[in-house]
Formats: sequence, structure tokens, C-alpha cells
Amino acid sequence: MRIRAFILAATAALTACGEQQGIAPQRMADAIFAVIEADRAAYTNNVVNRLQNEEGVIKADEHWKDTKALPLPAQMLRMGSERVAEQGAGFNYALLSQWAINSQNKPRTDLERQGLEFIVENPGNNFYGTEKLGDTEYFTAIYPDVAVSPACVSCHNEHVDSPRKDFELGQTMGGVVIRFPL
Amino acid sequence: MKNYKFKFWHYGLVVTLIVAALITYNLEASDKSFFLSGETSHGHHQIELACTTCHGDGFAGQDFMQQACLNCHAEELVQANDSHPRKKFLDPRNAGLLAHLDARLCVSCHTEHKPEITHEMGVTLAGDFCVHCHSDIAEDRPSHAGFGFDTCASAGCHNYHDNRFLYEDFLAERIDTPDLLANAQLPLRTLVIEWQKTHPDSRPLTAHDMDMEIESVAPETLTGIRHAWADSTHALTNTNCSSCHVDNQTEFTSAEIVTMCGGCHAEQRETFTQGKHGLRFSSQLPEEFRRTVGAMSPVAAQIAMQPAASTELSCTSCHGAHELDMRFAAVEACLGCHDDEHSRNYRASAHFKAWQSDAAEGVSCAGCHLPREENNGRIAINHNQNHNLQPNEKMLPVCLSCHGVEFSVAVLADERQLKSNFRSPVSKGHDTFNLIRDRIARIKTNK
Repeated sequence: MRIRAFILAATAALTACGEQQGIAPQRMADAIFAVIEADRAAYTNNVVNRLQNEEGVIKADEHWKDTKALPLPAQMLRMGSERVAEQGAGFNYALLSQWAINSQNKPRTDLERQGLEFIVENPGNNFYGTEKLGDTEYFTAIYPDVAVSPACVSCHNEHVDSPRKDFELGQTMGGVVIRFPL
Repeated sequence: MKNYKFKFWHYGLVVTLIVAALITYNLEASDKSFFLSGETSHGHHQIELACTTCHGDGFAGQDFMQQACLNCHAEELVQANDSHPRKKFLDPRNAGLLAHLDARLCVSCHTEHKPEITHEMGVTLAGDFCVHCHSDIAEDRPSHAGFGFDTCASAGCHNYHDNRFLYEDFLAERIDTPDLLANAQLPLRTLVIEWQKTHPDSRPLTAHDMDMEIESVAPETLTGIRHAWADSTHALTNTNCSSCHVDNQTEFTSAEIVTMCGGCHAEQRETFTQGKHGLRFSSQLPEEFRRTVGAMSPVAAQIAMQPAASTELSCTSCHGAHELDMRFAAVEACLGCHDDEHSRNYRASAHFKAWQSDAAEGVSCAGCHLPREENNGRIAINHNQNHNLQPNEKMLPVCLSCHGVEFSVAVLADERQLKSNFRSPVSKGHDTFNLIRDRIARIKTNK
């Protein structure tokens, strides 16, 4: 009995040693999304919505350099994602939507299409999957991007290139896609 | 002496050794010209023998070459608010697109030493390269259905890198402006005024204040120099002879002139060495190249130059050593060398007539090609004359100082207008405005 218990314990220990150490991709993606979402909400509410819509101090504008305005929240998110990509941080993220104003930000892969549909049809839920892009296998997580302030809704509903103009506060407008190479 | 019989392979060995010696000499001690793999593009031909700048030790990889491009061009791409920066293509969701065209690397579109496939702006792809990623453009813009993809970047509508003056909101803001503005005026230079503000107690120097006498110079020559200097902005801004003629030096190489002037005019030197006039003095090039190859000369140019023009290009080629005549520098200096159709037609143009009647409101060569740029309230001259040449929509901020946007876009896209120096009749506006006129109305309504 003791010998059997010892063999079982040794096998369990050896198996554990053989497993990859570190944080599971899903847990890591959830943590990264928490940071992205928090920064995004803080910028949208405390900077753009306050200064543009409530206090009328400065506008947020798509061509913010030329108009000496604030970058739009979506542009801020993309600036961050491009910096992360340039640093080779080991993961990528993007803000995508079926109703993107810039068609380059519409879903491009099958998993992106599937995931964006899922998070719109299942509010409050995330979507996880794997896909092969080029020669590399990726873990892909897609999180709902919700209209957190009136600035989000009004801008998208009024933009000349917006394919959807009936967004309401609290609705899912798109998704944040986070990818890790496996 | 024994009559030695040379065999065929002996001759082969001797010839091989001689060829090897010549090649080695060219590589190690001469100008490396044997190793040029093909004619260099117009952008790099005058620095083509600075091989290591782009190729490192000859075995440098892709990363080194990419960084070499960025060492010289990154700042310009940032200024251009590059529409297709490398960072946009790092997301793995672009893997499918990059398989067709790897937009992360400059050399994917700009391969050097390939004259047979090099087009404008050093592009070595077929003119319809936009199709690789934008084949479905007609779904978003039905008005674009049927357009050839070779017209996207060649018709004055879009550029790959620089679209700062072509996006819809920019055009919408200016669409109703007349062809010639009532308050047509290039920005006025402010550097002397700025200097005077920061030196309120300084008085202009006069001919009597000259702090250098040279016995080796003929008295009449010295008198001419004295008066030229006394009438110049140097005398106005308290810059005496000894500021430049340190240790009574009177003979300077072009490199020494550029270094010396740059001591006070650092911004001007920086932009001068970014353009083709001063490129050979760029700090990005190896010291040995700068020392041995020397200044650019019209003789080495690839475009039409006056047959007699053979001067070395430095600051004094245009500004003179003592007179600093800005009118000369803005027109006569340019036309003293440039002999292409556009340049030859300038003196018959409306721009020149205005320049003759009033230098402040007229338009010289320099007024357009050395643009006056605002930086923190200061207006300074960008001395890189290639800065706004290609694609020529980069000239729009200059044109818009005096002209309406529709007129300016149409004229810049018309090859006849460029060659005739804008003397051809302007028949109609640019089609880009017809395509987006209703969209612009909607954009304005939404404002």
C-alpha cells in the first residue's frame, strides 16, 4: 500500500514537472483585457466625455493632429496596440467590429467573425479559440467592447462612414481581440 | 637560362591573380564601384559609393538594411503621418496580406539598383500595387468601381505614405475657396525679427566695424566685400568677419563651409543635408565617404542642368560668402544650374511677374521648393528642396497659401502645368472633388 502510494505520488510529481510552467493563455488574456478595458473606460469617461461633452473645453477628433484635438478613444487603443506590437511583447491586440468605420477594422479571419458574432449575441460573455495565421498557431480571445459613454454612441451614429447608426449606450459595438502565438 | 615553357593554366593563374588584385584594390583602397550591382535610383545615386551605409560589412541582413532606410527616412515618415507605417502590419491578422506584399519592409516596394523596374519615387512594384490589399474598395466606395488600381497613387488622389493634405475632412474644410485667394501671401520669415527680439540692445554693424584686414586681397576687392557684408543680415545681426574667418582663414572647402555655417544655422544645415543639394554631407554617411567624395555638383546630376554649371554645392553656392542676397539665392542661384522645362519657363510665369513686382508677395523658386515652415510660432526655411517634391501633393501647403484647394490639386496633378510652370490654361477641376462632393456635403452637415 505504501509502495503504491509512493509510486502514485512520484508519478504525479514527475508529471507536474513535465508540464509547462506559467500562466494559462486564457488567464493571461483576461488580465490583459482588464488593463485595456480599464484604460479605455478611464480615457473615454474622464478625458473625452468630460472635456468634450460635459465641459466643452476641447474636442476629440479623428484628425487630432491637424485640428489640435484629443485622439478618439478607439485611436488611443490602437496607438497602444501598435506600440505593444513594435516592442515585440509576445502578444497582439486589436479593436475590431462588424460595424467598423474603417473597413480595415472589420473581421478578417473566420475566428474573428465567429467571435464577434458570439459576443454580440451573448452579452457579458467572452469568446476563446485557436486559429492558424500564416505558419503560426494562435490562441485568440475576443471580449465585448461596450459603449461606455455617450461620446461613443454619438460619434458612431453620426459618422458619414459608419455602417450602423442606431447604437445605444451599453450596447456591444465591437470586440477587443487578443492573440498569443502558441 | 633554361627556356621555361609556360602552360595554358599558368596564363590562367596570372590573369586570375591580376583580376583578383584589381577587385581587391577597388574594394579595399578605391571607390568600390566594381561592386555596384546596377544603376542606383535618383534618390541615392550621389551617395551610391557609401556602400556600408545600407549594406554594412556586405553580409548585413534584412534588419540592418531596414534600419539603414529608417536612419535617413524615419523622421520624414513621422512628419508625413505615414498612412502605412510598419507598426500597422505587425498584427498577425495581416499574415494573409503580407504573404502577397510584405509592407513591413521598405525594400518590398523600393528595391535599389534595379533601374529597369524603378518608377517614380523609387517604387519598384507594378503601378497597381494597391490591389494587393484594397481589391474590394468598390464595396465601400461604389464610385471607385471600374477604376484601374494603377490610378490610386498616380492621379493626385491618394499616396501610399503621405496623405496629410488629401483626406476628406481637409478638403471639405477648404473646398469652396476661390482659385486665387484675396489674401494670397506666403508666410513671412521671422528669424531675423526673432533674433532682434532676443538682442534688443544690439546695433547693426557698419562697414567701419569690420574686424579683419587682409593684405593678400586687392583693396578694391576688399572694399566690395566690406560693403556686401555691411549690407547683409550678418552685419545686421552683429556677426563680424572673425566669426567665420577664425584664425584669418580665407580659403574653405565646401565641407568646411557647411560645418561652419551650421555652427549658427543648425536647422538649416540639418535640412540642407537631407536634400540632394547637401546629401553628401549627411551625418548618416560614413566619415570616410564624406571626406573623400566631396560636395555634390550639377555635373553629377541626373536631371537637366546648365552646361556651364559646375560649382560645388554648399551654403555659399546660393547665398554667396558675404552678400547673403536672398533675392539671388531664391531665383538666380537656382536658374544658374537648373535647366529643365519647368525651370526654363519660370521667368515667363505669373509667379515670376509677381516676384519682380514685390519680393514679399511674389513667388520665387525658393518660395515653393524651400518651404517656409511654422514651428512654435517661428517661420523657418526648410533647406531640403526635395522635401515637398515627391509626391508633389506635399507641395499643397505652399500652394494653399495663395490658391484654392480644388485649383491646387488639379494643377499639381497636371503634368503640362508643371512643365509649363503653370502657364497652361486650367481647363477644369480635379475629378477627386466630383467623386466626393456629395460626401463632403454630408460631412459638413454632420459637423
